[in-house]
Amino acid sequence: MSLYLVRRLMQLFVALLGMSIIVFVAMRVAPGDPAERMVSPLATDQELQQMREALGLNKPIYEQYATFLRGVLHGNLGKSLFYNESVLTIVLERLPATLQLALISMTVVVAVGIPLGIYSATHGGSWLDIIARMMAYIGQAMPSFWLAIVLILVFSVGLGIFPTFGRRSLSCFVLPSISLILPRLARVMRFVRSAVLEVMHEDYVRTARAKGLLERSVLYRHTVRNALIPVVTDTWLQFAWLLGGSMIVEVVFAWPGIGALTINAIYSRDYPLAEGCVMLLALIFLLANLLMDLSYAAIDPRVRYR
Amino acid sequence: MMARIIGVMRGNFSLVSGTTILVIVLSTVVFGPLILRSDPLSQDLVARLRPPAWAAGGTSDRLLGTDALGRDMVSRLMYGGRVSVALGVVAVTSAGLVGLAIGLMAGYFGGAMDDVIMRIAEIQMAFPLLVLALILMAVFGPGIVSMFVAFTISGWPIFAKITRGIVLSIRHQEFIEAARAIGCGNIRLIIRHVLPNVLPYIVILTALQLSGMILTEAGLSFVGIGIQPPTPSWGNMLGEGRAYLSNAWWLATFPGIALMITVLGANLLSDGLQVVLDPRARRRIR
Repeated sequence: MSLYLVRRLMQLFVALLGMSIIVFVAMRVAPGDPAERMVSPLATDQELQQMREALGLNKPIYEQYATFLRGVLHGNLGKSLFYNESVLTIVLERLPATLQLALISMTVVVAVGIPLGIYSATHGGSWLDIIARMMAYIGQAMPSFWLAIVLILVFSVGLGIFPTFGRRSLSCFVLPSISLILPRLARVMRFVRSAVLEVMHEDYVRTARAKGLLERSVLYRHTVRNALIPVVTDTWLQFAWLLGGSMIVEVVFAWPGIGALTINAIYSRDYPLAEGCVMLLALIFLLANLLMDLSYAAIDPRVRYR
Repeated sequence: MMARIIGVMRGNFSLVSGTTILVIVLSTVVFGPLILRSDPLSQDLVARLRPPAWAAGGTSDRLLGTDALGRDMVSRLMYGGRVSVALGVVAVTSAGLVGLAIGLMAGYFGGAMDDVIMRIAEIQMAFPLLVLALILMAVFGPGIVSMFVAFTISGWPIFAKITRGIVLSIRHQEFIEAARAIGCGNIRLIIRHVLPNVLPYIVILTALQLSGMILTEAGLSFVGIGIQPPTPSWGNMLGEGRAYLSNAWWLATFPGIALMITVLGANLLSDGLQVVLDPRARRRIR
């Protein structure tokens, strides 16, 4: 098992390395560079060249990459060209905002979605089940940024209850969270429902019932615990995705998180910041993948890794 | 043949409703523009920002209102639908074919190739789609081609992973062994014996991914890195509408509804297909 872990960590490292090269090259191949955006539109070619030299963009690509790599190995992700601060500082500054949204959303999704899904599976056909399933279908079909817009339309512009953008007060959290929660809630609910339904017909559940166990015992000790395995996987992945910053929702609500930071960095060709952000997002996702595989092995005794 | 189709559809609410919705959406976006003959690109600055026909100030020849440049919303919705849906369909097909082929190889031959492919797939999945699209757009210029490439690149891993999983689980079963015992070559084995077991799940996954890709296209166009104006797409219509939330709610609302209906149809279809195709699900009655 520890050999597996070591192997996965090595693969993670290689994957990050590969990704860093891709991002690095892609950004420099793309038309437009930070120098152009930093000098006035009336600047002469010579001034443009001077700016490029000052930013270190004139050196050959492999040299720039080597500098970058050396920096990373020392824990230094470079300095943002536009904010003039260390990339690490900027990223860490914006991380809490994204983290808060991600945690709040995922907590609500899990706390409400799982019980609802179980109820829907066990009480199929009841009012709550039908309503919940209809809403789940609709919720999953809604683009979260459209939901965000509709929420803004109704609650901010129309009723004036919640603020349209920013992160100033507690009420600022409501609309962004709802936009993120609803589609995921729908997905988890349907997932749990189908997983529980699937397990409910397995032979071992019939055995447990035949043994004379209380229905509730049967439900919780046998059905739900086994049904939740794929749900755990999917939830983990959703959380990792949210940590990467739900970029579009952040843009719609002007939420000062990592997603919006990444988009802006790429737009303005702020090379160090963009690279740092993308690497961080990739790291988060790959780590979450790894943790998820490990937890899989811990939860399900049938899973064994060499 | 008709009897078989009806037999499959009977009692399967998801399949019927999903197919109906998608047929309605497809006919509207394919035939609608031919029937209505209105131009989504013609601007009429006198008639800008007119509300839908049922609201004050609306006219009946601009049923759903006009946008900031006076363009008719109905025809924009229909033409935009063509773009959004077509892109989704083409992208999911190419991602599906690529992923299927790779997954079959990885699962069947295994070994180092399997490991390498799976790690590449994971890197692919870890790369944020938005960033990938931004980079591709920066390199190839914005537009349909960049989007198509971005979707294919980001879409194949999940097809490959699922295909590989299924192949792994049937690789050691007796019918494969039997086929090999009578001298069946690898390629023939894969095509005639492995593939038919994989296809049902791939079809279901395709329907699901279709809705995902349509939504993603909308998201990318919304932030301006997908389909570029003046070509309408539901996503960039939403993006344009965002600036007019306080005075022209219809700009952002209708494209969203169109998106929602289409995605709903695709999801229902995939659910319905699952009941039909997934042998495990067949046990359960809806």
